[in-house]
Amino acid sequence: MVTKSRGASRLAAGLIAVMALTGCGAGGTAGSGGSGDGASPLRVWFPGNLAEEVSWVNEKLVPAFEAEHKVDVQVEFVDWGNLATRLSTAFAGGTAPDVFGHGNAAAAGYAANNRAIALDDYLAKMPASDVKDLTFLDQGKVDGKQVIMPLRGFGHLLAYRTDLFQEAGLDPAAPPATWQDLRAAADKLVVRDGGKITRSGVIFPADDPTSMSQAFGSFLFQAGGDFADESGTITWNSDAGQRALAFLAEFYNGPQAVSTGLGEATSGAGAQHPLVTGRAAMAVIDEATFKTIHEQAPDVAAKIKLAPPLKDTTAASFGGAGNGLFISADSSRKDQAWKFVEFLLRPANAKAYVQAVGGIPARASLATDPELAAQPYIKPYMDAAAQFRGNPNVATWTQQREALAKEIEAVLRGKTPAGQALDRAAAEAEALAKN
Amino acid sequence: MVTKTRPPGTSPRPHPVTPRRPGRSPLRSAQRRAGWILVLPAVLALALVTIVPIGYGFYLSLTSYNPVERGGPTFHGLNGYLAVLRSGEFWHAIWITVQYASGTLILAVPGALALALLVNGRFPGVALFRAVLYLPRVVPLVAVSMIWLWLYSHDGLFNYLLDLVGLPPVGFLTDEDTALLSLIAMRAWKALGGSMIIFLAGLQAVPASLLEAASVDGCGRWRTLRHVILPLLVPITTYVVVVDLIYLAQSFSEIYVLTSGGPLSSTTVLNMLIYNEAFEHYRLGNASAMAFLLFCLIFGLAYLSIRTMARGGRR
Repeated sequence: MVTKSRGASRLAAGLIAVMALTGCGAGGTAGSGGSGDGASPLRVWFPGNLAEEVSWVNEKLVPAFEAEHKVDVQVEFVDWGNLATRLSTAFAGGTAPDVFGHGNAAAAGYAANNRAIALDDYLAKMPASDVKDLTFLDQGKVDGKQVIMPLRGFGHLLAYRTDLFQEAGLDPAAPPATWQDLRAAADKLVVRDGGKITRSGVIFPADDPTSMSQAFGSFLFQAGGDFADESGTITWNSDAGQRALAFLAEFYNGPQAVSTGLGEATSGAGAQHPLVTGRAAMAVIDEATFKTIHEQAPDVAAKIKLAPPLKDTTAASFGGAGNGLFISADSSRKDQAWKFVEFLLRPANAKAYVQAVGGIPARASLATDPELAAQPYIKPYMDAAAQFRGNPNVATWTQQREALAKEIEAVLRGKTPAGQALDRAAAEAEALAKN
Repeated sequence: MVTKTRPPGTSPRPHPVTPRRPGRSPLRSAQRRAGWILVLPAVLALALVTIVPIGYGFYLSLTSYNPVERGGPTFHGLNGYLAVLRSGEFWHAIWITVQYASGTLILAVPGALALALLVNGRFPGVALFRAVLYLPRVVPLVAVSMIWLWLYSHDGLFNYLLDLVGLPPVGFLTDEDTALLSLIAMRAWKALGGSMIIFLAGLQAVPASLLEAASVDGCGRWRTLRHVILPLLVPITTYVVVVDLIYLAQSFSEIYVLTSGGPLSSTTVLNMLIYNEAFEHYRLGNASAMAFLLFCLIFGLAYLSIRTMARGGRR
């Protein structure tokens, strides 16, 4: 009996080992095929899977490019959440696409690891006036070299409900312009039921820790600070940073809190956005979210206005170059890849792209385009383009940002004082930069 | 009297059989070759998709490897394991994993047994009832997670019901105090159907004679359940607990969809941490080391469960 029992135990142990190891070792491989050998199609990965973008790219852009250049193009739309995973496995497996999109934040990392090529030689062949027209070009440079071609710009602006302003005795024509204005307006607009906030005076991007770090970014820039200096040394824990984070945290913490919704998904929420449902009177939102509100709740959107960037010492807000395209260093058809990028950035395509996706067009000449100027979810962002500031172009920025983001979340949830959190995040980020 | 007849020319005794030498197959070599050829594709497939990745994963766990860099893996021995074991995040994730797995098991196993007892009876519509209870099992976990994401959202069904009874909304997934509990509730619901079917099979295998004997001896329903049925279900329960434990300790997709490990890492189970380590921090070596430590954890917990329940069963 004892022998049988041991035998059964060993058999069971063996089964557990195989099952558990299979789970641990399980994993998919990303992509297939090579980078192109002349016969295979030009492979392009776009970040995100916005229906309008997918439709425009597949039905208009790609057929037009294929007809003009006699090249087959295979486009894949990769969900933002999986983009880094897919790209890193594709790099490791030698299956990276010829052209791939990403946010500007990743540019320095890909450049440092020679995953994306410098595009300066190609840019030099473009007419000077054309190059000058590309609004966000400088933000795609790493160590003076053009690594990413931004397709559009983005930004965070304060949106407010004019009807709720009127109810609270505020002037909808005079939105908050300073931190003090913002706090005063939020105090007037908040609605409480006992100790519970039933309508937030104002909410900020807070879907996840990364969004929270971007909300902090706006206040950091407004306070005269920055994430890092020109050498890449972290400066977010400066006096300006501490003041900015403490100010932001006061909206969520303490008896005078006026904001709720930490961790709630509001990005691209459209008709479900708290500004639409009435759970918030003001909200800092990006252009893509404002576009979804216009599309899904036009009646409420008509009551929402946008304020220019707030000012403490500087009028600024988080934003700048949004997603752009890289050309893979492993691509065997870099010239064709460039032609695709250049084609997408032609004025007519650059315009159609922001009409589909939203945001600020990649070309300055489109700022006066009557069709774009008529779009209430594009014009205010175009007007504020010069005041949007983004991430520093340092190689480990995405990892450093995660270190900052988790500390920002702890502060906003009232777990850690602002100064301590920023110092801790800075120490971790410096360590990441050294490794 | 029965007379046995024998065909002419046959021996009265059976042919002597040559005793088989130990370790030798009675199959001829051609048959053996055919056997090997038949199983070869399966063996190769197993090696290719299971054994090789496990081996490569173990090799990676002994290296420092950033997939975005061009240098490839750099061997550094056990440094990755030591770094992981010294990391507070790792132990925090272990603790969350243990809470998540045990919390789900505590809800799912007795719940599944209770449901199995319920649907083991004969009443009109029992087949439909069983099918409905099994339904969550066949729906993909990601799809279930998307549905529960809405159920738990601020404007979702649960908060609507709370509002109907005059209670304030709850941030099921956005509050660090409730996020893990909410995940456990969802996962237990998902696990109920599958475990229920296994328990039901076990219940239907209980010999009717034993139940009749218990009845004749004057056992009521409760005593029959406690002293007859449950002891007989120990092997089934062991199986359910061990298999659920193995799957729960490897949970990822539902957490990725519902909370991404937040808020404040309150739902960062070990697989979520492995994902973050590999694809946010690009530390594939450390992530692989964590995966093998997770294997050790699962193996240990499962083995412990088997031994504990086997002892309980023998008593």
